[in-house]
Amino acid sequence: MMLVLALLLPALLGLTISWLIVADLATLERLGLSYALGFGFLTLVMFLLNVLGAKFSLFNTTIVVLVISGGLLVLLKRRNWPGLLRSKTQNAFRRMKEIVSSFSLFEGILIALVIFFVLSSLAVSVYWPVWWSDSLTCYDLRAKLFHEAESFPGAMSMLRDRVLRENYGFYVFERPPMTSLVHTWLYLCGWSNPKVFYPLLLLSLALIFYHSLKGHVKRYHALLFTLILVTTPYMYFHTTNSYTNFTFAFYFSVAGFYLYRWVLREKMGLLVLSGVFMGLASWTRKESTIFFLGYLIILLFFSISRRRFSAPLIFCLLYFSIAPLWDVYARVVFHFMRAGSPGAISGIPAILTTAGSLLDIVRWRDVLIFFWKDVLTWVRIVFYLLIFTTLIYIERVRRHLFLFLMVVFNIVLFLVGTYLTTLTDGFAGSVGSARRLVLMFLPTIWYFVAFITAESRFLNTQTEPSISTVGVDSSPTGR
Amino acid sequence: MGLSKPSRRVVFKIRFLVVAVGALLWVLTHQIVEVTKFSFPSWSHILRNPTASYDQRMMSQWGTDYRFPAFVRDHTPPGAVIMYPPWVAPWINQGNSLLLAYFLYPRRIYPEGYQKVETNKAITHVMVAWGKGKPADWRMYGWPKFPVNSRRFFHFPREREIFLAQLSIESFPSDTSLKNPTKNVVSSWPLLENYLSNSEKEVNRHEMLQLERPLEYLSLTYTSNSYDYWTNKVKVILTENILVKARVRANLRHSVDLIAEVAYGDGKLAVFESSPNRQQGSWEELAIDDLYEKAKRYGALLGWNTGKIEITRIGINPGLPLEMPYLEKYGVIELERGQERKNGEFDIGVDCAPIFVARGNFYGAKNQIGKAIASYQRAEMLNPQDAWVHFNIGEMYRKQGKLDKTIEEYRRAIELEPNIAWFHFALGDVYRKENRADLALESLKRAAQIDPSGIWLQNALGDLYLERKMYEKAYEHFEAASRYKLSVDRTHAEKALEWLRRRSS
Repeated sequence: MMLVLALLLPALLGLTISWLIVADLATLERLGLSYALGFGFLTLVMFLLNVLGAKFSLFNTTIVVLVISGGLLVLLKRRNWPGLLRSKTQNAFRRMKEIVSSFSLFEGILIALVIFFVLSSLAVSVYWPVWWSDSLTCYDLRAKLFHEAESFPGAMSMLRDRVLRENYGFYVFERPPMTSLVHTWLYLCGWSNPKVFYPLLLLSLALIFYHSLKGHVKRYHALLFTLILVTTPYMYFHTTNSYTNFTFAFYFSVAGFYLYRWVLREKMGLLVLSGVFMGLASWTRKESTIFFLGYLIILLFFSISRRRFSAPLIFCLLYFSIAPLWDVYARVVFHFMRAGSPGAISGIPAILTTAGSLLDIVRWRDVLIFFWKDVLTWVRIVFYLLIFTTLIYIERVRRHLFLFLMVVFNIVLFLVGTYLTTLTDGFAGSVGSARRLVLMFLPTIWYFVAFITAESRFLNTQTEPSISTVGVDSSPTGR
Repeated sequence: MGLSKPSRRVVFKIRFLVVAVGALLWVLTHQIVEVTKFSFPSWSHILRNPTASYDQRMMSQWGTDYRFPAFVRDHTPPGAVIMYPPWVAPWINQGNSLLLAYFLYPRRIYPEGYQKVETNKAITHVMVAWGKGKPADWRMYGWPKFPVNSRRFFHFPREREIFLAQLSIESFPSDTSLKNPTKNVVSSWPLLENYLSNSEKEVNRHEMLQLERPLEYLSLTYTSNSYDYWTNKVKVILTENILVKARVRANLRHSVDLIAEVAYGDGKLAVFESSPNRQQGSWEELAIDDLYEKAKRYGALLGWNTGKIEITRIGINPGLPLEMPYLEKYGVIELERGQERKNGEFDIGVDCAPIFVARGNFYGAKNQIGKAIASYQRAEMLNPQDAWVHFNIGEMYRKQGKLDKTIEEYRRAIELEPNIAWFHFALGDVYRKENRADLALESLKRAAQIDPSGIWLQNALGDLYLERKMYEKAYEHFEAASRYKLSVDRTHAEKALEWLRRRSS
C-alpha cells in the first residue's frame, strides 16, 4: 500500500499542477507529465518544508501534498475537472479498444517493442540495487542521510560524524538535491530500491515525446521515433542506474519539447510547462544555466520578432524561481563558497573572467577533437544521423529553425562548457562527466530528426507550422 | 533547380525511403541489438536468481569490493568506528571513504593512521584488506602494515588442510653415541579430539587416511582463530630425554604447530608449543625442543610443584593466526581497548600462550605496562618461537622508555621472523630516537626492501635523508608519502616537500 502511495501521491500532485497549467492534454501525456512534474514538486515541497523547520517525514510531506492537491482541485473546480474526469473515464474501455484496433501491424509492433523495453528497463532497475559508484557515494548516500537525519543540516553533520577526519560535505551536498530527495521519499514510503523512479521516468519521456510529435507527424512516425528514443543505448543504460544524468536529460528535454510546442501553438500553458521543467532540470543538476541561456537567446529572438515580450520574462521567472534555491541554501546553511561549474549560475562570473581565454584556437581544435573522439564515444551514431538528415532535408530545417537552433545552441554551449572545464580539469578530468552530460541532448536531437524526416505527403496536406508562420495556431489539435 | 512536381515527388519519395527505411531502421536495429546486449546478462541473472538477496545482488556487481565491507558490517556493531586502508592502489575501492561510508552505513569510518590506532580510543575496529587491481609492486598487498592490538580478528572463511603423521613422544638415551638412539614411548593414536579452542570454525573433514602409513587428515574452515587445540590424552612422565614430535603438511605457511600439555605435581596445567610450519604444501618435522627444561623453568617461576611433571596431552594447533600483514587477506579486527571480560575468559584452567598474549594486550590497552610485560613473558616461556610476543614485550619496554631492552626484544623478533617489515621499521625508529642514524637508516632500508609501502616509512626515510642533507633522496621519499591521499600523516610529507621545493628554487 505504502509502496503504491509513494508513486501515486506525487502523481496526484503533478496531475493537479498540470491541470492548473494546461487544461487540454491527451490522457497518456498527462499521466507522464503528472509523474515527472509531481516528483519535481514533491521534492521542492520537501525542501521548502525542511527550510521552514519541518523534518523529512512521510506524515509531513503527505499532509502538505494532500493539502496542496486538494486546494488546487477546489481552485480548478471552475474548470469542471470532475466532469472532465468523468468524460475521460466514461467508455474508456470502448475507446481504448477503438484506438487499439486502429493501429496497423507495424504500429502494433512498435508499441509492443516500446512497452517491452520500458518493462525491461523497469525489471533491470528494480532488480539491481543502487550500485554505481557515484550514485552510491553521492546521491543515494545523501538520500540515506536525509532519511536518517530528517534534515539537510542534520544529514551534513551526520556525514561529518560518519566519515571522520574527512570533509566530504562539499562533494556530497554541493549538487542539487532532486534525485536524492526522490530516493528519500521512496525510502520513507518503504521502498528498498529507489531506482524504480528512473524507468518510470523513461515511460513518462516516451509518452510526452510521442504526444509532442503526434500532432505534427504521422502516428507511425511518432511511434518509430518513440521507439528509437526509448532504445537509445546510452540513455537506456542510464535509466537502469541512478545517476542524475537521465533525470536531468528528461527535465531539460521536456522543457525543450514544450518550448517548441509553445512556439508552434503559442499557448501560455506550454511556455509555463517549459519554464517549470527547465527549473526542475536545474533542481537536478547545476549545469542547466548555460543551456537555459541558450534557449533564452533563441526565445528572445523569436519573441521580439513575434512581439511576445512577456514570454522570455515568464520563462526566466519560472526558471529562476527554482534554479538558485539549492545554491543559495548551500551558501547560507553549509557556507559553500566555491564557484560552481561552468554550467551553473554560480559559474557565470567564472565564465566571464575566463572569457578572454576563449580565443585559443589550438585549444578549440583540441576541444572539437576531444568532443568527437572521446565525448561522443557511445552516441556518435545519433550525431551521424543528425548530420546526415540535416543535410539531406536541408530545406526543412528552415521550417523548424527554432528547434534546429535549440539543437545547435545546445551543442555549441556544450563545447563552450567543455572548453572552460578543460581549462581547470584538463581533458582527462572532464571526459567522464562530459560523456554523461551529452545524454541531455539526445531526446531533443531525436525530436528534431523526427520533425524533419516526417513523411512529405503528410506535410504537403497540412499547413506545417514554421517559425515564419507561427502566430496562428496551425496544429491539428490546436484550439 | 527546376524540377517538375512529379519529379520532386519521386525525389522526396526516394529520400524518404533512404532515410526512413534505410538509415532510421538501421539505427533502430543497431540500437535494439545494443540494448539487448546490455540487458541480456541482467535478464539472464534475474531469471536464474529471481530471489537473490540485496547482498548477493551487490556482490555479483562489486565482487570482493562489496563482499568485504558486507563482512565487516556483519561483524561489527552499528556504533563501531572503523579504520580503513589508504585510498591508493591496490585499495582504490576498499579504501574509498564514501563507498565505505555507504557500505558500512551507519558505522563510522576513520582513515589510516598507525599512531591513531593506539591514541584514538574512539576507534574500535580496523579493516584488514588485501587489495585488488594491479599495483606496480606486489609487496603493496595486505593492509594494515602496522601491528594492531587485537582482541579478535574475524576474517573471510579460510580452509586449512593439515596432514599429520608420526605424532609421537620419543625417548632418547642420554648417550647420543648409540646407534639407534630413539624409542617411541607413545605412537599409536585414535583421531585427535578438539580440546581447547578460541575460534569460529567448521570441521569439513577429519579422518584417518590409510595410505602407506596412516595419516590423520584435518580440514577446517576458520572465520576467527586465536588458538584451536586438537589433542589426544597421554600419560608420560616428562624427563630430560623426552621429545614430542610429528610430521605435518599444511596448505598454508605458519598455520599449525605442535603442542604438549604438561601437568605438574600440584595439578597445574600448561601448554607448550613448537615453532610453526614454515612451508606450504610440503612435509616438515615439528618438534618441541627442550620441553623438560621449559616446563621446569615455567613451573619453578610460578612456584608450582615441579617434582613430578607429566605430559598429559599432545597434539596440534591448526588454528594458529597467520603472519602479518594479515594473510587471511580480508576481515576486521576488533581492537583491544581493555573491555570488560566475562569471568574466566582469561582463566581457562590451563596456561597457554594465546591466553597470555590476550592478557598482555588487555593490560597494554589499559596502560598497565608491568602486568602486560609479565603476561607476555609468560606467553614467551610457553611459546618462545612466537616473534610477536617478543615484539610486544619490546613495545612495552619502549613505553617504559627502556630502549636498550626494546632493541633487544625487537632484534629477537627479527631473528625469528626476518621478513616482517614492521619489525625493521620499529627498530629503525628506536635507533633514530637514540640518535644512531646509521643503524636507523639500515633498518629502515631493510623495511623498505621487504615492503616499501606505508606513509610512515617513506616519511621516516625522508626525514633521515633530510638530516643528512641528501635532498634528492629525501624528496623522493616525501613524494612517495604524499601519494597517500587522505592519510593523516600526509601533511608532514607535504610540508617537507614544500620546504624542499622552496630550497631548490
